[in-house]
Amino acid sequence: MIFFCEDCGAKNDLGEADFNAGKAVFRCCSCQYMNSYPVPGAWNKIDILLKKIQFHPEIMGIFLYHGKKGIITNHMPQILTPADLEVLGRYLSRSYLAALSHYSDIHEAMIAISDKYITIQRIGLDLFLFVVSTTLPLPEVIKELLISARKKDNGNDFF
Amino acid sequence: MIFSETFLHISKIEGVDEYIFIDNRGNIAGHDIKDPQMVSGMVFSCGRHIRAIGKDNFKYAVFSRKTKKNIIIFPVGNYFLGVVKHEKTDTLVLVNIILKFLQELF
Repeated sequence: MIFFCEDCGAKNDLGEADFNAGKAVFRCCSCQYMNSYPVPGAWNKIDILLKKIQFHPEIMGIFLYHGKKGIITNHMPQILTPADLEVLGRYLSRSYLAALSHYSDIHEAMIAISDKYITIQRIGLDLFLFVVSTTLPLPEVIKELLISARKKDNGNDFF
Repeated sequence: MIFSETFLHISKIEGVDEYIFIDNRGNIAGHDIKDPQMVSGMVFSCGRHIRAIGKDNFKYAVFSRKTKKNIIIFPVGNYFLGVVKHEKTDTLVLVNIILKFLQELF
C-alpha cells in the first residue's frame, strides 16, 4: 500500500507491520522523516471485525498482538494487565510460529489454560489475533469471522 | 510412570493416528510415529513456550492443520504428550477422551 511522506512527499510502500493503532508509522525511504498519521480505513476494517467477534456471550475478550510492537488492540477484561497480555501474546505467538516452522499448513491454534480457551489466528506476518472464550467449540458465526480474517490478510484487505 | 503401559493404551484410543512422548529436555521418551524428529521438535518448542505462561494451568493445545491431522499437545508431569489425530476424528472429542485417560492414569 502506497503512502506519501508528510515531509518530502516521496512514495513509501508499506506493509501491515507499519501500522499501529490505526496509524501509519514509518520512516520515509527518501528523506528519513519519521511519519505517523491516522489511516481511518485501516483501523475501521479490523475494528469492525473485532467488535463483531467480541459481542458474543461466549467471548471473554479479544486482542491483537504484533511480534515487534506488542499489544496493538486490547478488548480484554481489565483484570488482565497490559503486562499480562504482553506475556500471553509473546509466548503464544512464539508457540504458533514454532509449530508453523515444522508444519506449514497450520492455520489456527487453540490453547486451553485453566478454564479459558485462547484461539489464535495469524492475520499478518507478525500480527496475531487472540480470542479468549469460556466455551468450545466457538460458535459457527465466529469461526466464519476468523476465516474471513485470514482471507482478508491473504488479500491484503486489512491494511 | 510406567511408559510401556501408557504407550500401549494411547495407541489404542480411537482417533489417535500417531503419538510421541517428550521429556523436559526435548528427548524422545517413546513414540509411534513416522517422523519422530519433526514432531518432537514441534511438540517440545510449542510446549515449553505455552508452559512458560503457567505450568499448572496449561491443559492442552491444539494446532489445526489443513490436512485435518491436527496436532494436540498435553502436559504430563515433566513430559509432553504429542498426539496426531486421525483426519476424520473430531478434535474436541479426542481431547476429552485423552484428558480422561490421563486423569485416570495419575
